Amino acid sequence: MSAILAVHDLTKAFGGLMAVSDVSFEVQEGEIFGLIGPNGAGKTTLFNMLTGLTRPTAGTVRFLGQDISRKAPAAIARLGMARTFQNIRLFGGMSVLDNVRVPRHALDKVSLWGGVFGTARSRRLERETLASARELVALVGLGDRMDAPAASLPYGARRRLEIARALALAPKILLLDEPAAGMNQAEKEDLSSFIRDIRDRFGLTVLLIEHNVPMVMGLCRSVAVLNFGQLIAQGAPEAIQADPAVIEAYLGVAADA
Amino acid sequence: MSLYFPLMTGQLSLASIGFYSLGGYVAAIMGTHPELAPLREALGFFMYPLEWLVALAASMLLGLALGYPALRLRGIYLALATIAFVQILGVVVLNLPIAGGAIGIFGIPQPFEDRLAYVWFFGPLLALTVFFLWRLERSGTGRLFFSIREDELAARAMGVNVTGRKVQAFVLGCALAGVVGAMSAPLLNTWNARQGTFDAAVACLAYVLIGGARSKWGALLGAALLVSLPEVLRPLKDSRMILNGLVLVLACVYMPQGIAGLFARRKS
Ligand SMILES: Nc1ncnc2c1ncn2[C@@H]1O[C@H](COP(=O)(O)OP(=O)(O)O)[C@@H](O)[C@H]1O
Ligand SMILES: [Mg+2]
Repeated sequence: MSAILAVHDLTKAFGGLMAVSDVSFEVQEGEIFGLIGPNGAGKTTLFNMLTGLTRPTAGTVRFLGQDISRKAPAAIARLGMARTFQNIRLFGGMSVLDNVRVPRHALDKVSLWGGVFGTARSRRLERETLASARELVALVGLGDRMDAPAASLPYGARRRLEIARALALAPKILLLDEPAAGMNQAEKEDLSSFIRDIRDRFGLTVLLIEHNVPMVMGLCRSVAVLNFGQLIAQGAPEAIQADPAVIEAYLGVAADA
Repeated sequence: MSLYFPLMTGQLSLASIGFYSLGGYVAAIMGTHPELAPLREALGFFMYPLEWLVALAASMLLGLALGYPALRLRGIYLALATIAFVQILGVVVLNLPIAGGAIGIFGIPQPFEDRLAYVWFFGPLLALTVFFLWRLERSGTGRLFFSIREDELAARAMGVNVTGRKVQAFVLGCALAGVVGAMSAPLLNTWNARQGTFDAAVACLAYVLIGGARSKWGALLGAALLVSLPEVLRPLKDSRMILNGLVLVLACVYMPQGIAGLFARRKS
C-alpha cells in the first residue's frame, strides 16, 4: 500500500484563531480513514483546505504525488478528489439527474458550440453522461425521482444525491463530511455498508468525518482525532478508543452536552 | 435578452448597453466613412451583414478583454464595474474624432423606407437567439452555467471552471448586444453617445426584473410590458409615469421571479 494523500504540517489561522494547527497524517490507498473530533475541532476546515476551497496558512498537501496545496478547487476536483458538504450544497433548482451530470460535463470540459450545434463528439458525450448519471442516481436509490428538483427531496435523499454527485467525478478519493448527521441507527448501518460497497465497486479511498464513534470504529482501518485544531491521536480504532487524550476530549464534550 | 446570458451563471452585468452602443458605432462608421465607399458599392446590401459580423467580432473581443478581470468580481461589484465600463465607453466615444464626438454620426444609410420592414433584420435575430438559448439550456454547457447560478462554491468543488464559464456566458451577451446595436444604427439613422447611457442600462435591467431573471422569456415579456405601458396609460397624461413607476415597484415586491416566474409556477 502507498499513501494516496499526505498532509504535512497543515495550518489554518482565522485571525488569531488556530482552526487547524500543524496537522500531519497519511491516508493509504483503498482504506476508509476516519477523522473525528468534537464540534469546532477544525475537521471541516481541514476538508476545505484539502479541496482547495480554503487556502492553508502553512503546510502542504500531496495527492497522488503532486503538491495540491496551492491549486484551484476545480483543478483538484478534476484530479480525482470529490467531496460532500456538512450542510448539503446541491444545485437546488436543478433536477436530480442534472445535479449528477454537472461533474461529468466539467470533467469532459464540454464545448459551448459543440453543444449548441450538436456535433458528433458532443452528442456522444451527452449520451455517455446521461447513461452514467442515471446509473449513479439509481445506485443511491433515487431512480424514481430523476427529474425532481434537488431541493424538493427529503433530507436523507439529498444526502444520498450529494454522494452520487461526488461519485460522478469518478474520484480516486471521496471526502464525506458528516454523512450520517441526522440519521437514525438503522440508517447509519445502511450508510456504513453503502460506503463499503462504493469503496469496493469504484476502487475508492474514503476520508470520513463522523461523530458517531461506533460507526467510525466499525468502518475505519485508521482514525485521526482532532481537538482545538490539533491532532491529538492517530492509529487503529481500538488504540484510539483507549487513548487517554481522546477520552478526555470526548468526556469534556459529553460533560458540556 | 443579452442580460440573460450572464444571468444564467448568476452574474448581473449591465454592460449590454455599452456593447449595443459599440455595435451601433461599428455600423455607423462602416455605413458612412468616406474611405469605405468603394466597399459599400461593391457589396451593396451585403454591407449590412458585414457590419453585423464586424460588430459581433468587436463585441466578443472587447467582452473577452473586459470579462476576464470583471468576472472575478461578484454580485453588486460586478454590476458596478459594468456600469463604470459603460460610462468610460461613453467618454471615449465623445472624444473620438471617428465617432463624431458629441454630435455623433448621422446620415447612416437605411436599407428600408418603412420602419416596420426592419422586422426582416430583428425577426431572424430574435428567432436565432431563442433557438440558440433553447439549445444552450439543454446542453452540458447550459447545465454548467446553471450550476454556477445555483451554488458557485459547490460548482467549483465539482470541477467546474467557474471563471471560464462565466466569461463564456458574458461574451455571448456582449455579442448579442453588439449585433442589436449594429442593426439599430440604420434604423435610427443617427448614432451618438446618448445611445449608451446609464438610463438605458437601467431600463434594460427593469425589463429583466419585471419579466423574470431566471427565464429567457423574462426580458422579452418585461420589455413588451414596459414599452407598451406608457402608451396604454397615455390618457392619464402626466400621472402615467408615476403609475408606471408604481407598477415596477409592486412587481419587484410581489413577483420576485417576474412574469416568467408566474408561468413557471402555474406549470408545476
Ligand atoms: N471562515 C471562517 N472564518 C472564521 N472562523 C472560522 C471559519 N470557518 C471555521 N471557523 C472556525 O474554525 C473552527 C473550526 O471549525 P470547523 O472546521 O467547522 O470545525 P468542525 O468541522 O470540526 O466542527 C471553529 O472555531 C470555527 O468557528
Ligand atoms: Mg464540520
